[in-house]
Amino acid sequence: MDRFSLYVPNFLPKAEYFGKGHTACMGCGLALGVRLVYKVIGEKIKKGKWEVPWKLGIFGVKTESAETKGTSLLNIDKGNGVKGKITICFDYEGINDLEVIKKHIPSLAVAEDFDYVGTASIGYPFDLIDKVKTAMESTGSSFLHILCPCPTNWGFDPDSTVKAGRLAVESNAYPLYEVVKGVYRVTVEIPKPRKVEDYIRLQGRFKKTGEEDIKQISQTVAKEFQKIKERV
Amino acid sequence: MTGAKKTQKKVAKDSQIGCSLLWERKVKPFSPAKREMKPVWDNDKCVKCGLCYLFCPDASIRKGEDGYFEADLDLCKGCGICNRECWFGSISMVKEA
Repeated sequence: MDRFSLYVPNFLPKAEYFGKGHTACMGCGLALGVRLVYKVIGEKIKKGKWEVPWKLGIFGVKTESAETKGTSLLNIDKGNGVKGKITICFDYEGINDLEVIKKHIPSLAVAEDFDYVGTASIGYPFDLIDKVKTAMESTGSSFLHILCPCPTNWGFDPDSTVKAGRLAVESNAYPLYEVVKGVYRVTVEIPKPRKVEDYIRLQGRFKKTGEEDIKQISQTVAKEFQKIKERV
Repeated sequence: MTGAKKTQKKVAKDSQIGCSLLWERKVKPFSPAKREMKPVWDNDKCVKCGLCYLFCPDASIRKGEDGYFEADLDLCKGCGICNRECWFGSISMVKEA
């Protein structure tokens, strides 16, 4: 076989509603997340202000409440006869505050009785796109939490943004699951999880973290993952 | 007030998508001066999988006329994600002249 053509974009909506000269840093995970989300829901906000993103800032509505510090939120009406709103939370972990980190935003959303709650990472783009689609089609209010690694804040090279998003899932630090009316389902299952150490050592902000702390972190990661597995 | 109105008119005339607005009523085209590296494709190794297109945060990569991918250098910031994600090593980062 001399040359095969897989061409990933065949599985994607082709129109681009975002990305014509935005002012984000290079290798921005948030810009990539917003771009992938807009590929699905772009038609609905075409008339809105986000068509010229560089002028108005790409980070959406910055919130000051304690639960969502260091994230940006996006509220959109579903339209097309489907009632309800979709809330998308792009989490770039902008504030390294213990009170914020301790709170687990998706589980807060589950407690608030959202009909559809999902977590997604930019390391798994097709999983992300599927979740946005199902969130748009399901009736009732829905919530999506998207992990967007930020090279500037986290302290890694701009070319390893996608790698960071993938490592977060592969080390079970950020499991991908969805909750449809209270029923849990893990969408991406990792047969052989990697060490949490790999994920932490990638980030410059954990430079001073000792080995004992990493042990503790990996224990809490395992505990949190076990909690989700029990609910499935 | 008149000064501000004049500025608006001038900006509307000269500005293009992706430019940056300066205080001295000037318009500066986007990015090439700031970018250090740019991606260059080796078409012999490319299998047209499109992963570079998928992962580009600036949406700068597009399909050329011959079916291979190329970067729109007006939008590219030279982050190097395409270089890292390419399975076949067909992209290399070259220093900007």
